[in-house]
Amino acid sequence: MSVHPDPESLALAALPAEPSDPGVAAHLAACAACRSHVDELARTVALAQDGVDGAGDLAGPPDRVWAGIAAELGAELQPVDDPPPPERSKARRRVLVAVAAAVVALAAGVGIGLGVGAVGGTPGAGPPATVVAQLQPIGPLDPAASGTLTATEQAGVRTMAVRLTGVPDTAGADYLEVWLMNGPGTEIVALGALTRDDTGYTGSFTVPSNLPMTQLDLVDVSAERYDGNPGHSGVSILRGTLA
Amino acid sequence: MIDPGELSDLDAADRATAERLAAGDPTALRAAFNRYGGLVHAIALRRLGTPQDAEDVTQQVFVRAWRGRATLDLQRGTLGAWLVGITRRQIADRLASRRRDLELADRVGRMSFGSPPAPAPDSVVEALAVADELNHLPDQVGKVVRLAFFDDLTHQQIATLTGLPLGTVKSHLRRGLERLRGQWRRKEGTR
Repeated sequence: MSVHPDPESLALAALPAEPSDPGVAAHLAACAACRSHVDELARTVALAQDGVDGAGDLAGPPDRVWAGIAAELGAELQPVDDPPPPERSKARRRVLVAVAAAVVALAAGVGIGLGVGAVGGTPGAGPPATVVAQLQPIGPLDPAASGTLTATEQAGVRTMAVRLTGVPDTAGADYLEVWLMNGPGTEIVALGALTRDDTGYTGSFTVPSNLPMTQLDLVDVSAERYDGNPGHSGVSILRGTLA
Repeated sequence: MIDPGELSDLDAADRATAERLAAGDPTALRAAFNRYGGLVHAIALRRLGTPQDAEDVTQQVFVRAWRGRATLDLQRGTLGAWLVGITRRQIADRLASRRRDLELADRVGRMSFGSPPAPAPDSVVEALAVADELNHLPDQVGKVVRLAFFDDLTHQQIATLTGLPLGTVKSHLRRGLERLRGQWRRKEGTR
């Protein structure tokens, strides 16, 4: 029996338009192993040709299917090792409301005004910003993606600005949202949604100066949908720890 | 230029998703859904016929994938093959329950699926798996393979048309073809 043809010659022998190579054809007539391999490759071509007839079906299920999966799994959809993204449960939101209420009470008690949002809308005009967290991609996000969180403080108003670069359009997300949370994910505060611009995503948020930042030291960016649910989607795409 | 890394990168990404899923990372479930949701849904749609059932089965497949992530054994097969296996069982359950439920079988019968509905042959699942993988090949490999499969071009004509060296075209054809073959050939080892 002749020497087995190289794998590329065998592949060509399975393709519909290739002219038959006499040397390969003679070998295939004599070698059952190579013949069987070429037959499998030829069947693969036939399957691909059949399969593309249904290629329209492969476009993917409607978005509501993922929503159904997330809803059915609910709190089960928690990571085991990483700090868990908080789930969308009502119980969790009650905790958050309680945290927020405690912050408000504390602020009122020490006489610090919380109407900071009204005067915090001019980021960039004040003192230099300090980078307080570097954000790294987690999950399936492009490893080239990155982000920074900077903070400025002026007249008791802390402003946090987020800038993300290298973040591709996130399939299945309508917008990105920034959160501060504690390690176990039991306490979480939404900073707000990010805006897309030419170079990535940006957002600037005022933060009550007495927010317990030492507890909420994890910065989380999540992919969100316009689904009427104000909670964290459970899909985190970047994270960093406050310096 | 030959890029031997391209297709193995595809494998590496798949394996990384599988490992993160097995470790309980919920973003991996989303990644698996993004990559394989289309195939799972297409198989369910083809074998069950009704969009509602296909969506229900797709949801159940990924719910079960999350709850059964401890059974994902990469020694025995790929993430895609594991999900297709779950899909097959879900579809079989659904068809069995249709047969039990005469009222439903009647309704399906009126929709001309027969009673009981005849499942599409296994080759339909294989063809969808191959076509889905073709959609996910690296761009250049996928383009070369399509020209050979669907436009009946020889590797020399493809080289002329694309400007790629002959050796690159032959390498893309072999590696693309063998990867697609793996979509149906490997399943015997993973069932």
